Parts: sequence; C-alpha cells; structure tokens
Amino acid sequence: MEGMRLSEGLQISLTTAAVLLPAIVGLILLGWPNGTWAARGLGILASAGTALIVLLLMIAGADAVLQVWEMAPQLFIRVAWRVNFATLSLCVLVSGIGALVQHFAGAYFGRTDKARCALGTLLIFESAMLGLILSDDLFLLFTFWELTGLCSFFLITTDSDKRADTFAAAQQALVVTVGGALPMMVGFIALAVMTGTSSLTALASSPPPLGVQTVALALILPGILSKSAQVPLHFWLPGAMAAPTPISAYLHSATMVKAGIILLLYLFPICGASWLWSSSLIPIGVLTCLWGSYRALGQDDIKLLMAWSTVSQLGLMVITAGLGTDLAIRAATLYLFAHAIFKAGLFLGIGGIDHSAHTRRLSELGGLGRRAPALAVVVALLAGSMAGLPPFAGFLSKELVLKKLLMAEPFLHDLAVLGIVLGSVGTVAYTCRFYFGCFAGLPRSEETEKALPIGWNFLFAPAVLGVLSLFGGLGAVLVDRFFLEPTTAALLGYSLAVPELRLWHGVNVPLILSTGIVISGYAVHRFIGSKPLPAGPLPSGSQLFESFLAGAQSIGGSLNRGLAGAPPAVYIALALALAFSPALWLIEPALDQMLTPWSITGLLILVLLGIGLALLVSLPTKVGRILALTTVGFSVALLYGQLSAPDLVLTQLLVEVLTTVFFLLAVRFLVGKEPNESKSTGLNALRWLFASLIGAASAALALTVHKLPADGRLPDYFFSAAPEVAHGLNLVNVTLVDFRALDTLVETLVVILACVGVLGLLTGREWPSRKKSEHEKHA
Amino acid sequence: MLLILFALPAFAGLLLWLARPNVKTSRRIALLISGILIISAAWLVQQTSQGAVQVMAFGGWRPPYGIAFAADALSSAFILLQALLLGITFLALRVEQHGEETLLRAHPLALFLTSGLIGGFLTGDLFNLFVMFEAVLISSYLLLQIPGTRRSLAGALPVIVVNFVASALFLAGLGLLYGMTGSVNLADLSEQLVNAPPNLRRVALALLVVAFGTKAAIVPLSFWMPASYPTLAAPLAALFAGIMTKLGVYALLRIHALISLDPGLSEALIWAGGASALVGVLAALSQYEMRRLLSFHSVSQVGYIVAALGLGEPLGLAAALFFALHHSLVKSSLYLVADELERRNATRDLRKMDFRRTGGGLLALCFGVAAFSLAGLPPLSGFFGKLSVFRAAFEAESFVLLGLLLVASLFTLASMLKIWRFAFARKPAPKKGEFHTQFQPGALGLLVTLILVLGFSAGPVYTYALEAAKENIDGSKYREAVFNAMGEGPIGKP
Repeated sequence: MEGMRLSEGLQISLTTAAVLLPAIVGLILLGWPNGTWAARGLGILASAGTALIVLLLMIAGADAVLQVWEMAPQLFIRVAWRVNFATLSLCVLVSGIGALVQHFAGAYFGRTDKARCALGTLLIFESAMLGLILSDDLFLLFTFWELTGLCSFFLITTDSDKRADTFAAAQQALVVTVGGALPMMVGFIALAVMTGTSSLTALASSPPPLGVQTVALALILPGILSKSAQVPLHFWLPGAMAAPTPISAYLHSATMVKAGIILLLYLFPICGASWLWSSSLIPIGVLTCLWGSYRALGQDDIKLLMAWSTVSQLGLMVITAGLGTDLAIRAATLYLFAHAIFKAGLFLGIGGIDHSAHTRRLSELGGLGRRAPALAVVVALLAGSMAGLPPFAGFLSKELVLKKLLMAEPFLHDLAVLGIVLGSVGTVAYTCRFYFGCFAGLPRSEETEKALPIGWNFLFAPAVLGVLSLFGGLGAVLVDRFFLEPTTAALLGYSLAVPELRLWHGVNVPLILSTGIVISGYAVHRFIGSKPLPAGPLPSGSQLFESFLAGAQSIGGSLNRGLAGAPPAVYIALALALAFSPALWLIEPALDQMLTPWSITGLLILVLLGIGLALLVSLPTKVGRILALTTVGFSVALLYGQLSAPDLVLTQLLVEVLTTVFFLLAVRFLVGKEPNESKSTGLNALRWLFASLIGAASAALALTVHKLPADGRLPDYFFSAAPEVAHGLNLVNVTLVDFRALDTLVETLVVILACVGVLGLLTGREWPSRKKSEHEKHA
Repeated sequence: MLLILFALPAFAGLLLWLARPNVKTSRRIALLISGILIISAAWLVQQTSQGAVQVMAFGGWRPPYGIAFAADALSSAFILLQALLLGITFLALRVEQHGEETLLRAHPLALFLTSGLIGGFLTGDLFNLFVMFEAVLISSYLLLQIPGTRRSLAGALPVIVVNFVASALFLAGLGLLYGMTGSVNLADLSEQLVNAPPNLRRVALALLVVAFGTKAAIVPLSFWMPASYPTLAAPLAALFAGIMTKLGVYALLRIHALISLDPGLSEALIWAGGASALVGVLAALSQYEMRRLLSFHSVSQVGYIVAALGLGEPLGLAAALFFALHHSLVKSSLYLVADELERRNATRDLRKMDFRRTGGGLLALCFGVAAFSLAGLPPLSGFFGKLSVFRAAFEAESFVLLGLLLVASLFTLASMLKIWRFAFARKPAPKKGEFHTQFQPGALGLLVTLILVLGFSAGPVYTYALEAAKENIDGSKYREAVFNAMGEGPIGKP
C-alpha cells in the first residue's frame, strides 16, 4: 500500500486518539446526566470518527511500532502501539461494528437514561478493545484485556432493574475470564522474564526457545480459552445473554469473545512452533465446536441459540488456528472477520425480531417472513453467511478452512476433520432451525400474529452487515487482494504465495464436502424437527461454578469459626510454640548445667517457688491466686539475692508489691463469677507439658547464651565513657538518662499515656453513663 | 529533620491533650501538623531516593554506643505513607458525623500513634524499635477505647493481650541477640550476627519473626486481628487497617538482612505468606459484615507481602514494599466506604443493605476503584503490586507459592464482587424510588485519587522500591552512614 507518508509523531497522535476517542466520549456520556438526547449521536460519531482515523492510517500504509510512554520499564510495562495492516483492519472491524451497534442501540433503548449509561460504557469498551488490538506490549494488552472484561461485567447488568439474574451472570463472566487471565499473566511474565522483552513485535521477530514457548503457551491458554468461551470454560457466555441484545451483539459475539482468537493469531509467530499448539487447541476446539452445535439445537430462545452457535464457531476458529500453519492462520483470520460481521448482524436481527414479535421463543415465533419481509431478507443474508452458503463471505471462509484441512498433517487431522465437518453440519442445522423457525410457517402464538414490520431505524445496522456478508463473498478476489493477503502478511511477518481466493474453483473436494455439509445439515434439521434437544445428564458449567464458589465460602466459614473465635490463650500458645520450637534442640545440651548441684538456700527458694506455682494453679479464688503469684515473684527476688544482684532484688520487690496492690484493687471491680475450671485432666496435662517445655527451652536459651564469650565492646566503652565523658559514676543512671535517653523519654511518654488513659477510662464522663445505658438495655 | 518528624507529632499531641482547645482549633492544628509531616516526609523521600541515608545520633553518642535514627529509602516510604494516612484520617474525622468528644480524644492520640510509628520507621536501634512499639501499642489501645463502650473494651482486649505477648517475644529475641553480639544497633547486628552460632541465631530470629509476624497478622498468628476494631470510628479504623499491620511488615523488612542469614526462616515466611493469602481470603469470602470481611482481607494481602519478603532478592523486597504501600491506601479507602455504607443502611450486615440507599454515583465509583484495585485489575495499583509479587515468585522459581497466590487472587475478586452484589448492584425492586443521601467524597475521594496516582506512577514508584530493596540487601551505605554519624573522629562525644 503506497500513499502519503505520515511522520511518526503524527502516527502516534492519530493512533492514541483513535484508541482514546470512544472512551473520552463514553466518560462524557456517563458523567453527563442530562446528555440522554445526545447519547446516540455522540456514540455513532465517536465510533465512526475512530474508524475514519484508522482508515486514514491504513491508507497511509502505517506499519510501525509506536513507542508512546515507558510506563514502568522495570516491570516491562510500556505503552506502545503496533500499527500494521492486520491490527488496523481489526480496528476498522471493531469501530465499524461499534458505530452500527450504537446506531441500533439508540433505536433499541430509546432516549432513556439507561441508554446513556449503556452506550457510554459500550464506548469505553470499544476503546479497551481497540487498545487490546493495537498493544505491542504484553502487559498493556493484558490491561486492556481485563478492561474489556470489566466493561462486560457492567454491561451485562444493564437490565438489572428488570431481571434478577443479571448479577450472577455478570459475576460468572467476570470471575471466569479474570480467573483464566491470572495464569495468562504468569505466562506473560514467563515470556518477558525469559526473553527480556515484552514487545510482541520483538518476540515475533526472534521467537523464544521451544521450551519457553511451551511453558508460556500452557500458561496463556487458560486466558484465551476462558475469554473465547472454550469448553469447559464456555458457560459464562450463554449466561451473559442476560445483557440487552445490542450489547450481546457487540461484546459477546463480534468483538470481546474474539479477543482470545486475536491473541492466538498474535501468538502464532511467538509460540506456534511448540508441540502444545496443535495438540491442545485442536481437541479443545473440536469439543467446543461439537458441544456448542449440539446445545444450539437444544435452545428455544433464539438469542441463546445464537450464543451457543457463537461458542461452536469460536471452537471452529480455535481448531483452524490450532492446525498451526501459516495457511491455517490465514483461514482463521478470514473466518474471524466473516463471523464478526454476520454474527453481529444476526444478533441485531434478533433484536429486531424481539422488537417486532415481542418474543424470542421459537415455540411462539413463526411466520414472520410475511409480516416483516425486509427483516426476513436481511436475516437471510446473514444466516446464509453463517451456514456457509455461496455466495456469502461465510462460504468463502469455510471453504478456505476445509481446503486447509485437507492439507493438514495426519495425526490430529482426523480429529480436526471430524470436528469441523460435524460442527459445520450442526451449524447448517441450527441455522435452518433458527431461520425457518422464525420466518417460515405460521405464527405459533397470538403475540407473533400481531407482529409488525420494523422500521429502518432497526433494520439499518443489520442490513449493512448483511450486504457486507454478501459482497464479501461476491468480491472474493478483491477481498483477497486488498484485505486478506496484506492482513495475513502483517500477522505472519511474511507474504504467502498461495492461489487467489475465489468463489468458484471448479468442482473440487472442498466444494463437494461443502455441498455434503449443507445437505446433511438440512437433513438433520428436518429429522430433529422443532423440538429442542435435551441438555444431557451432566451438570451445567454455571451450576458447577456456583457450587465451587459456595464451597469456597463454606470452607472459609469453617476456617473462620474454627480459628477466629478461639480465646486469646490459644493464640498465645501458638505464638509461643512457633517462636520457641527452634529452641527445643538447645534443651538437651544445656541439661547438665540446669541440674548442676544447687546450694541448700537455692533449693529452699526453689521449693518456695514451686509451692507458689502449685497454689497459683490450684487455688479456687482470685484473691488467693494473686497472693500465690506474689509468692512466686518474691521467690524470684530471693533467687536474685542469692545470686548477689541487689539492684535486681529491689526492682523485683518494688514491681511485685505494686502489681499485687493494683491487682487486688482491680479485682474489686471485677464482676461475675469466680472462674470455674472444670477442664479435663488431659487438657491440663497438655498445659503442664507445654508450659514445662517452653520454660525448659527458655532456661536452656539463657544458659546457652551465657556460655558464649562475652563481647566487651559496649560494656568496656560504657565503663570508660560514663565517668570520663558523661560525668556520672552510676552506670545504670548514665545509661538511662544519657546513653539511651531516647528510650527513657519514650517510655516515660508511654507511662504517662497509660496513666492518663486509665484515668480517662475510669473517670471519663461518657464511660459510666454509657455503661449504665447498656446495662439497662441488657436488662 | 528526622527529629521534627518524630517529635513534632508527639509535642503537638501533648499540646492538644493538655490545652484541650475547642474542636475547631483542635482540628485545624491536627490538619496543620499532618500537612507539615507530609511535606517533611516527601522531602525525606526525595532526599533518600538516591540512596543517601540520613542519620541522627542522639545525645552525641556514636552508634553503636548510642541510639541513632537512620532514614533510608525504605523508612522514608513508610513515613510518607503514614503522614498521608494521618492527614486523610484527620480530614475524614468530622464533628457532624463522629461527635466532638471523639475528635478531641482522637486528635492527640492519633498524633502520639504517629509519633511512635515514625519513630519506629526511623530508628536504627532494635531496642529503640521495641520502645516505639510500646508507644504505638499504648496509643492504639487508648484509641480503641474512644467509643467507651463495653464492646470496644471487649474488642480491644485480645488485641492488647496478643500484642503484649508479641512484645515479650520481641524482647526475648532482643535479649538473645544482645547476649550473642553485645549490640542492639541494627547496622552493627548485621555485621556481628554473621559469625554467631547458627542454632542460637535461629532461635533469636525466630522470636523476632514471630513477634513481628503477629503484629503483621500472618497465618497462623493472625486470628486476633479480624475481631479487633469493630466499634472504632471509621476514619480511625481506616488508619488502623492501613498502617498497623504495616509496622510488623516494616520491621520484617528492616531486619531482612538478619533473617536472610537463616534460609529456613525465609522459607517459613514464604509458606506463612502463601497460607495467609489463601486462608485469609477464604475466611473473608464467608463474611457478611463488611468490616470483618475487610480485616480478613488484610490477613490475605499481608500474606502476599510477607511471601514476597520471604522470597528475598531485590525483586521480592521491592514487591513487598510496593504491595504494602498499595494495600494501605486501598484498605483505608475500603474502610471509609464501609463506614459510609453502614451509616446509610443503618446496618453492618451486607445482606440487609439496599442498593437504593447506596445508589450509584460517586460512592460506587470510589468503591469500584478501591475494590478492583484490591482484586488486582489493571491499570489500578493492585495490578502492579500483584505483577511485581508474581514476577518475584516466578524468578525465584517458587511455583507452588505462585499457585497459591493465583487462587487467592481469584477469590479476592469474588469477595469484592460479593460486596458489590449486596450493597451496590441494582435489583428489580417492588417499590420505585431512591433514597438520596448526600455524599461528599472528601477524604475518601482523596484516597481514591491517591490509588489512581499510584497506579499511573507505578513505574517511578517501583523503581524507587527496587532501589530501596537493593539498598536494604546490600546494606553497606546504611552501615557506613550510621557508623559515620559523628564523623571520623574518636569514639564518644567530640
């Protein structure tokens, strides 16, 4: 593509503007309560404006990595756009469909406040999607990835004033996709850490070693599979249909669910060489494709039918991408575009049907063809594309898939063939079911009989998409030359030398296969009839999800009950056990020292101490226990005396006397019964054991430390500095008021605070009155 | 400057306490002080960001003989955080909502608390850290008593008892270290302890780790925490939730150089952190009272921090620091949201809340930003925190931890959605109508803005954290600065 050249600065500005424009308009709408009247017009303008900017870049042949902002280089996060033909054409798709959806949604919601909020959020979503497509940086991509999920969360709850199930659906969608994205984040970290870059372009041009590719892919896959609704993480997508139809059309069929496929296309040059690529993607895709088709045949609600069909076709895309050759990537790309166009159109068409007949149930619809002929024609264009009929774009892409398939390697090939052929048969069958169920035959309910043709307000957007589907097929040659070839080249990094895409290749195997698919699909439809197929005995994913959350909650509940309600003693014991467990090994070596002969006086004091302890645990009254505790304290003081430490004796005595006095005073205020301990003897024995162990460990610690050679630096210095520099002879005093004066100061503050605090507690004006009132309440 | 940061709040607190001015004056002074603190802390951050260490030796005694304050990048970050939270707390404490008496009591006590915390962040002396812990403990105990109800007394009891035991363990560990090395100066200890007997060293460090771990509330030492401040006025609860567990985290970070001497302890921290992350969030998920839910969440989030700390290396420590900053802001703002919800609905039970009372609008926006940041959604601060922790775990090849944290992250989102579901999500209502209550974002708005700012300046903040972490592991600049506090001259007073 030649054309005008744009300077890099201009490209940066234009790309950033294209990404931000919808979000800015969206934020204005959200914050502008009186802006209801302007919502639709602004929304269309913003999306169309973005589309125009992107087209401009495309015409200018922009192909570069644009560095915008080194946001957090140490965490590998840069804001950098990758503009090339592939990313830009995806942007055209997103913003173009965005403009159409805004047009349709304006008509669908009317001029309501809800419309303003929904359209505003849709615009923010659009920006996120554009950002995701254009990101060159893995973590920037991740950011937009999560933002799309968040927007989807809010958009699903749009109808929360009418339906009760929206929150659960939105929560499921968010938790599943964010949950899937968590390992993906680790995968991105793995890629970035192991290669040193997080730039998609850099990674694609020099792919990491195979081992890294496999690890990264394995981690990234859950993200892709959850976002693109692959079995077994698909269940959130049908649930997300609680959103209003235009939103489902945009997010849950055309764009957001494609994010996974888009990432797959981006990752192919980076991780595509791994053995895991085909061996994981093909089975998952086949399973999804078949299960989606089957469930689509089991729906009564046409919107749900369409949701399951999206699941199935996403599976098809995953299979195709999973074939893992450049030709397969080409086929997947074409299918992605074709699907976005016809599926968005079909959803909008369903919105039209709903508006016309006031029901979405196949059991009530029918005969709309005569009542709303224009709608019937438009939907026919789209449905034809979905079923893969010539001459629509859908035919073209399916043909390409089949052709690719016939060239695939043998092992997984059979599985892929099976999946795609059966899936396609299913597609034809449910398309027939949908289309004939809505438009053919006779109305099956009174509502439907009163159905009215819908205006162009509703018809415009799906019609545009239908016409695109038609011309996409008819203009196969043009599509190939001006779209598919440059897109694939940009994705892969090189041009493919392949025969041109044509609608008519003459009679060949894919064509025969295609014809067979259509015929058997129709046959299946005739055979099943209008009755929905059963869902089968398996519990649905969303049930499993809900019970998973409930299970986690009940585990949490028992953890809480078991641990958070225990008395403080348990926590103390736990902390002591943890802290002293490494000290237990010191007991044995120190045992000798503990048992070295004691003097008679020492033994007597020990006996006294023992008596105090025995009294402490056995006396029934509080006062008795306090006195026993005092005995223990005094014995310790005596022990100090025996070890000739008179200053310690004094301190200990003072503390003992004071605590005893305060204790006795406080006991007076204690109300309630005396502690009644009828604990089992087993528990008591355990306590004894525990206390003895901790005691022994502490003693062992003290003795072991005591044996270490003393480090004289500080004491020597203090002894010399106290008289000479600090001019004080009492070392303790000098330490308190000079060497470590700050400690003393703060401790003084602590004591003052404690005193005043206690005083406030006891005499505060509020305290007694509150207590009284509470007391009265209890009485 | 270091002295101002420590002494100013203490003196202002004393002044407010003794003079008992009227509420307006008291509030003005409190706000003024916090403003000065914020500016000084910002200055300090700026000074230390290039690796410079500011030292101040008390009484002219040369470390390790005397006590010295030493501020490096790590301390400065926590000081700035505390100054910001204090300012926001004072802003959020309003006469109309919380009553005159609460304000008059809270202002001086919060200032004392801040003084203790900043002293703790500044000190380069392990025993002095213990003393600062005492100051923090007594002021927080008194703050807990402000409501003056029986429930507040009962709620405060386990906090005090458990913290007291933790302090005793701290003291025991401290004594052991002194016995082994003859020093309590951190810079000195990191040199002396290298040659200490490993079995004793392990015991001493285990005592410290258990003490700090209890204060940081990690599993299995965490279960005193969730019941701890049910009756406290919300802004104070926000302050507590934001910073109290962080003192333990800070202490662990500060002695990381010592902990890393014993690989077993680091390993233990990793597992305790991983277990906390998961157990905390599961317990949170089962709660129906928002404050309790949030405090269980603190257990979980502190788990991330401690696990990252256990991983060590600059990446792990940087992640821990970044995550700690992020979590303080987010948790404080969630407490303010909880208060607003409780007041509007006149209930603590999420199930009894009505979306029409909370409505959409700014409150929902504030909650959304904070909650999704906690859940780690980009581009909010929590995402960068999570990214840095995951990266540290990945590079340390600690894959089991990574798995635990991933699962915990998932449930974090689920539990935030639970609050959203009960308090904010619209439901089909039988009766129309909204009960509009005025909502002034004020302090909450400021906090949420800070969260957004932290998210968008994650790059420079993380770089800062990484530098601080490298500094902390290397430690040579810190040691050099501390030992040269008095110049090169002979030992003692000049």
